[in-house]
Amino acid sequence: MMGAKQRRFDALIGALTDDLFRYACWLSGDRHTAEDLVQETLIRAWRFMDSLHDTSAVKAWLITTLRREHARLYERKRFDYADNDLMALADPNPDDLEAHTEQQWLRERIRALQPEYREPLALQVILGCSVREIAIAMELSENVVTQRLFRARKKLMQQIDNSAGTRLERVR
Amino acid sequence: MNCMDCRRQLLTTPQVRDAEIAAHLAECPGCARLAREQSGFEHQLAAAMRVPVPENLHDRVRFAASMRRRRPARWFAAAAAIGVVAVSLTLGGWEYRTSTQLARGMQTTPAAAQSVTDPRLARLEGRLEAFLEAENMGTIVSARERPMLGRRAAEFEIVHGDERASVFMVPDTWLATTHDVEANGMPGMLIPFDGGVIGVFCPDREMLRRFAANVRASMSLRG
Repeated sequence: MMGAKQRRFDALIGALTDDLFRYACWLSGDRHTAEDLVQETLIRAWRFMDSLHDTSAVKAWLITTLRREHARLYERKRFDYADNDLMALADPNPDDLEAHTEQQWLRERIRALQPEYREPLALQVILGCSVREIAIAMELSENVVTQRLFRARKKLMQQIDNSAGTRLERVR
Repeated sequence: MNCMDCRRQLLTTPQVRDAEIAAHLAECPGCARLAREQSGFEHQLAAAMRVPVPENLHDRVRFAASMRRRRPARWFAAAAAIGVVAVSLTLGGWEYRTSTQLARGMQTTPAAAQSVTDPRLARLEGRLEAFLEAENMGTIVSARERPMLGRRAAEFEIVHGDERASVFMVPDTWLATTHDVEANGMPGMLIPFDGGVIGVFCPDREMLRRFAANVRASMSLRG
């Protein structure tokens, strides 16, 4: 029978698990590591469940815990981002091949971003964090976060423009 | 708001479209075009970043987490295993030493006809007598008290037809299991019972086995 603590845990954290996994994927660059990170984070969340009263603080708590777990893991094992199979992050059954290819192309570009640009972008786009929330999670000033978000988007948009230009050239 | 501020905000927090930015977009075609492109880019970005999640992730992770919660820490399991091995070795060594000392002490010299005066040993003698009668395994022909492992023990000589056997009762001694031993070349067995150890030595192995199989239930120092 499901206990009250379990129900509370599911209600508070269940909805965030998928996005936490996606964020962990972009953070670690590896699906299995991401799952381990989510698991470790949820185990800690379960332990501290009684002290997690503020629903709005749960997301921040989970992000901070996951980042710490990742840092701890990173101390032991250095991930080689470039060596990871990009297809491991891909949707296995894309309905639209062209859209899928474009998505893959953009994923590659996102993965090629430096981690300090990629992470705030992931926190904002996946977990819907505000600049302030990202600044707290990453222990940065809001100005720095704003700058990194700006540069990350600008870089990606420039690459899209360049790619569109190249494709146009090919058509001509 | 100028164009630079507008574009900076569009690329930083595209989800925020406050009144100020809306007013600027309404009057600046260049920024309005950028905002439209930006909107399309945000869709692409969100789709690309939404990597597929494994099926039933929450349930799987929750299950794994619950297993981890129930599983003791690795160091604790290792310490427990070392503890079990250490206790087993200690008990095993103790068991071996006790059974060897007991067998050595039970040298089968015929018991001189004396009476057993210690009340506990006298009680055991009565139970042994009843057991021998019930099992039709002979009678006690002599008994004496003798020290063994620093305790007051009793030795009985039993005659069954042409066979003779020696039985020792050593109270307040502990063995975990039955041991096959030998004293003066005669086969014997050490049998733990509720309150001590019985040693029986007999050349007839069949009689030895029968004795060992049934005596335990009949002997007790309690009650």
